[in-house]
Amino acid sequence: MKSLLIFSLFTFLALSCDTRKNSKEGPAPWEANIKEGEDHGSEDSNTDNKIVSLKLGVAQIGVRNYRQLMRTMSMLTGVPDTRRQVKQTFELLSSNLATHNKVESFNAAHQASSYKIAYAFCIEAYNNKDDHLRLYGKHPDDLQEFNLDAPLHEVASHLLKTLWPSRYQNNTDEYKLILVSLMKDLIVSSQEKRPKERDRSHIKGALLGACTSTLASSPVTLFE
Amino acid sequence: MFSGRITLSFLVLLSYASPAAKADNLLQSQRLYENLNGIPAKDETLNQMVSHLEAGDGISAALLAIDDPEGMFYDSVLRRLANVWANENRAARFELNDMTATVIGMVRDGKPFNQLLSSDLVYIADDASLPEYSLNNNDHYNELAEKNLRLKDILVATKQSDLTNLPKDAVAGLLTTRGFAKAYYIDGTNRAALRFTVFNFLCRDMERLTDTSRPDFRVRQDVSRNPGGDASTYKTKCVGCHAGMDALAGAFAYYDYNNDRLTYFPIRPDPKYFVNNDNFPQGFVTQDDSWVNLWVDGPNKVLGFRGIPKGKGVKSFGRMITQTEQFSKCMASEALVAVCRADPEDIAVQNVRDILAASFEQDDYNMKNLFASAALSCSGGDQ
Repeated sequence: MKSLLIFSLFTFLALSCDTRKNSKEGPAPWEANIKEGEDHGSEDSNTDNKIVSLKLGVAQIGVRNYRQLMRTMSMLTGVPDTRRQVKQTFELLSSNLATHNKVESFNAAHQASSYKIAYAFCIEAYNNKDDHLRLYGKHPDDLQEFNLDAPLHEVASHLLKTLWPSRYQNNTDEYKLILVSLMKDLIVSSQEKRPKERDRSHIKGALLGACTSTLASSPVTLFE
Repeated sequence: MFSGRITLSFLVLLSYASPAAKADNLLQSQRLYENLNGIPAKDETLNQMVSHLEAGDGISAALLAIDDPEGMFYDSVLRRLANVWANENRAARFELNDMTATVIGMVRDGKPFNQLLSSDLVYIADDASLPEYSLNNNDHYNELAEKNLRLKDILVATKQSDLTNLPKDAVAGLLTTRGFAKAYYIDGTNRAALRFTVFNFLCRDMERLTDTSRPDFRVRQDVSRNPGGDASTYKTKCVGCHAGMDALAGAFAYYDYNNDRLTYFPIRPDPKYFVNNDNFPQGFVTQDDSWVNLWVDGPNKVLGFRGIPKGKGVKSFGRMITQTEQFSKCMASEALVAVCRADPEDIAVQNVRDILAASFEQDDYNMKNLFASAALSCSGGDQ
């Protein structure tokens, strides 16, 4: 759980940095849009030497509200929001999710509920053959084969490619490394807690952890 | 309407003729879509939006996002706004009803939004399997919501007077829907109907409308002129709201919400207008549904009232509200808050709001185009 939170925080911060970078072509959100004394060389230029622009730059980051979050997660995972576990989890937790898109309204309850709903989508996908392949890709069922850099990278790449909106697909290397590290941690922790469990159980925990983290991360729960 | 759109586009293009570097059209399309729908767009939709942006037609790109069959503009963004208007707590999660459905339908169809509070119109679902519309209950809309059907596709406009048997003159858009009645005519003195009409559609709560310089000849009998034994409290506080409010709330005198339904009794004012009439027997006695707008002078003149400052009934009252400059500014502000998450108190936002409000009026009060223009203003790029 601690790893999930660290991951979320990291991606949240990363997204915030990206926002500033993306808005470099325009004014920063809500920066002054009155350009005094600016001559655009047009006859339409005003007489009082003051131009009011219709441009507000780029809007603040928004939080997806409860309906938007469900639809987004369903779109990205390909898992219908009518599936039993997803529906039940949403009915239980929807009142904890945001009703407003303003980022100021975002709180810990929203984040915790987003994780639980993301987990519901991830486990539904895990249990369905087609969804499993689409979301997690092909991966070894043997723990020793799975717990190597190459297959873990493969899973991380697959999850990021499937679950993050296309605009975040560039430069995902850092996040892949975080996901790989997370899966390794989850496997170690799972083996320590349940040494007698079968390989499949440890792998399942790692996959669900990586999927939940990716799906509940800021590129999915927030937008700009 | 077409010329209005051209005007809007022209305004947008004119204002963007700045030397700012061009943003990537794809990135702008993604932002535009998410600002309007709150969900990511599919690639095909984005490609179409990019084509519009490349052709210099940002408005069409935004309208494509609004009307995208996969989108959530109507079911989430617009419905949230309508929900907030439909209950005193301004809760964003609220039942679908005839008031909220009518807001959604009018935006979808580009109906002149200045008729929102006066037209003979209500939106119902075009689905025979649903219970029939009734003023006695909300079953029609409850079942529609339960079925999770897309509001964008299922709502149809119909005449309120046909469905409700209210006389045509007594029908006034949202103000005579069952949803509005349940929220604002229930109990009380019908002052809530006035307060929330100006709160929702002029973006002004009573605190901001207080004006103790208005004459108090319309202040009703239930308002004590000597509250707590201090007459100055009435003169310096109470009258600030009641003078203007009571003079306008006469418009609702024949309406009430009883036994789960809107009632209309045009013979005499509803008994609620005479509750506590012994507080100040010399106060104003409501005789009919006449109203007077005392805010046309004094500090509230800035709201930009137009037309005749008095009338009879809710239809003329509703028309008076939506004719104000402030109504247009309020709608522009609501659009900027909804799709840009803008702070309406921010000066930069208010500048944009004023331009959008002027265009809104020139565009025959097309609210859908207003949302499109608002979203364009905060999605980056040159358009």
